[in-house]
Amino acid sequence: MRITTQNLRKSFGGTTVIAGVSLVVEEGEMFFLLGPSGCGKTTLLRMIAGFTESDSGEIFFDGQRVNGLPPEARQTPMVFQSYALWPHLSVFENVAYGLRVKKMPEREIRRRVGEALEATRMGDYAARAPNQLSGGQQQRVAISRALAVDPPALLFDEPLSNLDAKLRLEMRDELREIHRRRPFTAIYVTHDQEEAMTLATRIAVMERGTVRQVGSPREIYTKPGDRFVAEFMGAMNWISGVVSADGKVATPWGEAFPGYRHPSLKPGDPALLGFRPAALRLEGSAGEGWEFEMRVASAQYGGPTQRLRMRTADGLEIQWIESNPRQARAPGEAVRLAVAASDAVALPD
Amino acid sequence: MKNRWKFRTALALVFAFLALFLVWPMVYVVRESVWIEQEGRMRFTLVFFRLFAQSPFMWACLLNSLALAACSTAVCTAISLPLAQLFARRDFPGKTFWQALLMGPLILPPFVGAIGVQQIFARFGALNHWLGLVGPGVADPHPVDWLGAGGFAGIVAMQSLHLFPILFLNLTAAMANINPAAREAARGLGAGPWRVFRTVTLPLLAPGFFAGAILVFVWAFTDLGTPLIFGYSNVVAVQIFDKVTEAGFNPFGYALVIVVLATTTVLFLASRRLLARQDYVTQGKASARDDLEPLRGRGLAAATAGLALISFLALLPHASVLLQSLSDRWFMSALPERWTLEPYREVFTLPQTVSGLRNSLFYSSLSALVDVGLGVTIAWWLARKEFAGKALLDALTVLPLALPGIVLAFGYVMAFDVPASWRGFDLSGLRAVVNPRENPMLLLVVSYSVRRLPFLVRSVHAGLRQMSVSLEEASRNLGAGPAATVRRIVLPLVRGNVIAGAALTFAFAFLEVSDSLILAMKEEFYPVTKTIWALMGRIEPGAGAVASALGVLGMLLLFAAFFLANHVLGRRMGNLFG
Repeated sequence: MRITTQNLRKSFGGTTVIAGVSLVVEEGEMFFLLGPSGCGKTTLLRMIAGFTESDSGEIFFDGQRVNGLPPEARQTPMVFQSYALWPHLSVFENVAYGLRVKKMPEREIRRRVGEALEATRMGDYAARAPNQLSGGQQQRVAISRALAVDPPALLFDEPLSNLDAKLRLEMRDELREIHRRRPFTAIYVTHDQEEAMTLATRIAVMERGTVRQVGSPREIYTKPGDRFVAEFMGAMNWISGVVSADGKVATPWGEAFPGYRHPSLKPGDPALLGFRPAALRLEGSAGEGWEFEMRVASAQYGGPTQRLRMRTADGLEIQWIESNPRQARAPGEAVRLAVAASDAVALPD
Repeated sequence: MKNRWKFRTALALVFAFLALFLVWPMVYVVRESVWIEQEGRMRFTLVFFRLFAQSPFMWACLLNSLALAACSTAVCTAISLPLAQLFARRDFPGKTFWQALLMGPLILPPFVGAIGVQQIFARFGALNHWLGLVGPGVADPHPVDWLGAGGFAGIVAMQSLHLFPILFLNLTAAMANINPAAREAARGLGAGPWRVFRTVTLPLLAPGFFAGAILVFVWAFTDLGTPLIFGYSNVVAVQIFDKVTEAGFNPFGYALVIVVLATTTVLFLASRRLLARQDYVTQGKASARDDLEPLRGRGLAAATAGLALISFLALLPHASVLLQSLSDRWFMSALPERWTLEPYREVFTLPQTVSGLRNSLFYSSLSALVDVGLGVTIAWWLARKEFAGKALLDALTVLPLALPGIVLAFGYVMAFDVPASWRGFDLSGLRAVVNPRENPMLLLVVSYSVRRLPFLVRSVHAGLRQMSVSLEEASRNLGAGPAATVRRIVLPLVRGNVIAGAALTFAFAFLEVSDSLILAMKEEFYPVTKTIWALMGRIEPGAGAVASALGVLGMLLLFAAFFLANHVLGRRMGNLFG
C-alpha cells in the first residue's frame, strides 16, 4: 500500500507538534521516521493509524483519503514499544484476535495463526500466556499478531526500545529477514539511528515537527542536507572554509574537493566542512584532503576504538576516533592527522 | 459521527441522573432554607440561621458532634498509625490472619454493635458482673458506669472501633507507595530511624492520612445510628432525624442540614487544597518492594499482644451481638442464663424480619447493578476520553464522598415530596413511585447507588490507569470497534476491579443506616438496618435477641462480600477509601 501525507499539521494546546509534513511511502518499503524525542514522529505515526486526528492536511492510502476514518477501519496494525499483548488471552488468542474480529472460519484462523507464529519462530508457544514469555518473545508475538491479518501496512512504534542491547541486535536481524520474505509496507518510528541505518529502505529525519531530509540510509549519512541531520546520524567535526572559484573548499589546513557539496554553495560562499571523527587517518597525505598538526588533549580508551580530543596550535579542537588502537596516547603527544577529500561534506555556513 | 452522537446522548443521561439525584436535592434544601414565605410573599431571608445562631441548644449539638468526630478521628489515628507501620514494614507469623481480623469492624454497623456493647458495659451489664466474681462489681452500691457520662465515651469507642480500618487501609497503602529509596537515601545521609520517620515518612504519608482521616471525621460527625442507640440526642444527626420524622414544618431542619453540609464541604475543600499542595504521586511509585524485616523475640511478642488486644476490642461488639442472639435470657448476669437458637428461627419466620432481609437484598443488589453500569461508563470516560464537562463529571462523582447520608436523605424527603396534584394535574401516579412517604424503593436504591458511586468509579478507574492504553489501541487497529474493544479487552482486564467495587457497594448499601432510617417510613419497605432499629424499640422480651440474630446474618453476608472484594483487589483495597 502506498501511504501519502500532505501538509499535515497538529498542535496540542498551543504547541505545534507537526508543522506541515508531506511524505510518500512506497509499496513494500520499510520507511523510517527518525528523530530525537519530541520531534513529532510518534504523533505522525498515530495520525496515520487513526488514533490522533490532524488539525489540517490529508492522509491517503493508495489514493483514498482516510482522514476521519476510525483506527479499526484503516487496517494498519501497530507493533507497540510496550508489546501491548493482552494478558487475559493466550499467545494463540492474541494472534487470532484480528482474524476473529473479521469473523474468519476457525480452520482459516488456525492456519494463519500458525503461519504468523512460525514467521517469528514462536510456533511452539501458542498455548502460553503472554506473561510467561520474555520481552523478546513477547515482541515476536506482537509482530505475529500484526502479520496474521495480512495487513496492507504495518506500523512500528519503537518496537525494540524496551529490549536489552544484545536482544535488540538479534531482533533487528530477524525483522529484516521477516521483511525480506514478506515485503510489507511498514512505517517504523525510532530515535535509534543505527536501527534506522540497518533496517530502513528510506529514512525521514525529523526535527521539531518538520521533515529535514528523506533518503536512503547511505544518502542520509554521506550527503546530509544540513548540520542537524549530519550530527543526528553521528558525531561530526566542523571547520570553517570558503568555496573557491573552481569549487574546492579552502581552509587553513588545505584545499580539496569534498565528497559532497551542498547544491546551494557557490564560489565565494563561506562553507562548513564536516567529517566524522573516525574518518581521520594517521600520516594521511596519500591523496587529496586536509591535514592537521595536532596534540592530544585527552584520551579515552574503549577497546576496539580510542576516542581522543585533539587540539591544534591555534586552538581548533576536533575529535578523533582511532580504530584498533595499538598504543596509549598521552596528553601533549604530537600527531599528524589527515582526512581524505571524499570523506568530507561541505554545507552552507 | 454516529459514535459521537451515541456518546453525547449517554453523557447527557449520566449528567441528568446526577443532576436529579445529587445536585437537585442539595439545591432544593439550600433554596428552602433561605427562600421563605413572609407576609404572603416569597423572599430571601436568613431568619432560620439567625434562630439557629441564637439557640444555645443548637450550638451545643453542633459542638457535641464536632467533639465526637474529633475524638473518634484521634482515637482512630492512635490505633492505625502504629498498625500501619507494623504491617507495611515488618513480616511476622500470622500477618494475613491479623490483617483479616482487623477488617472485621467494617462488617458491623456500629449501632448494631452498640446494642451488644451496652449489654456488656452498662452499669448492671456483664462486665460489672464478671468483676463481681473477683471484687465488688455489681455488689457495689454505685457500679462503675463504663460508658461514661451520657454515652459520649461509648459513642467514641464504637465509632473508632468501627472506623479505624478505613484509616489503617489508607495509611498502609500510603506507606506501601513510598519508595524505600526515599527512606534509604535519608539513612545514607546520616539520619536515624526516628528522624527519617519525622522528616521523610510522615510528610509523604500526609496525603494518604488526610484522605482517610477526613472520611472518618465526616462519618463520625454525621453518624445517626450510634447516638440513637446510646440515647445521646444532642448531636446534629439526631436532631435532623427528629426534624424529618416530626410532623409539620420545622425551620431548624433546613438550617441544621445546611450547617452540616457547609462543615463537611469546608473540610473536604481544605483537605483537597492540602493534598493538592502535597501531591507526591508524580514522584513515582515504589519500584522496588520493601524487603520486609522479620519480627522476632520480644518485638514479636509485643506486636502479637498489641494485635490481640486491638482485635479483641474491635471484635467485642460482634461477639456480644452473637452472644445476645443466642441467649434466651441475658439480664443482670455475666453471661446468658440459657442458650437458644430460637431467635434465628424467628428471623426466618417473622414477616417483619423476612421482609427486611428481602428488601435489603433487593435494594442492595439493584444499587450495586446501577453502580456497575454507571461506574464502568464514567470511569472509562474519565480515563480515556477528552470532552467538555469532564472536570465537572469528575467532581460530581467525588462529591458523594463528602456528602453525609443524613444530608442526602433529608434532601430526598424534602425535594421529592411530590403532591398528589399540582395546578389541576393529577400527579398521584408519580407520587406513588417517587415520594418516599408513599414508596421509598426508588429513592433508597438511588441513594445507596449515588453515595457509593465513588467506590466503583475509583475501583475501575484504578484498573484502567494500570492498564496501558496501547492494549485498547492494539485492538482498534486490528479492526475491532470501540464497543467490541470494551467488551473483549477492557472488561475482562478490569473484571476484578468491577467485582470488588460491586461487592463493596453491595456491602455498604446493606450497612447503610441514615438513608435507611430516614427514607423507609412504612414498615413494608424497611431494610435490615431499620428493622433492627425498630426491633430494638420494642419492649417485648426476645425482640433484642431477634434483632441481634438479624445483625449476625447481616455480618455473615457482609463478611462474604468483603472477603470477595479483598480477595480480588488484594492490598489495593486501601486505595478505595482515599
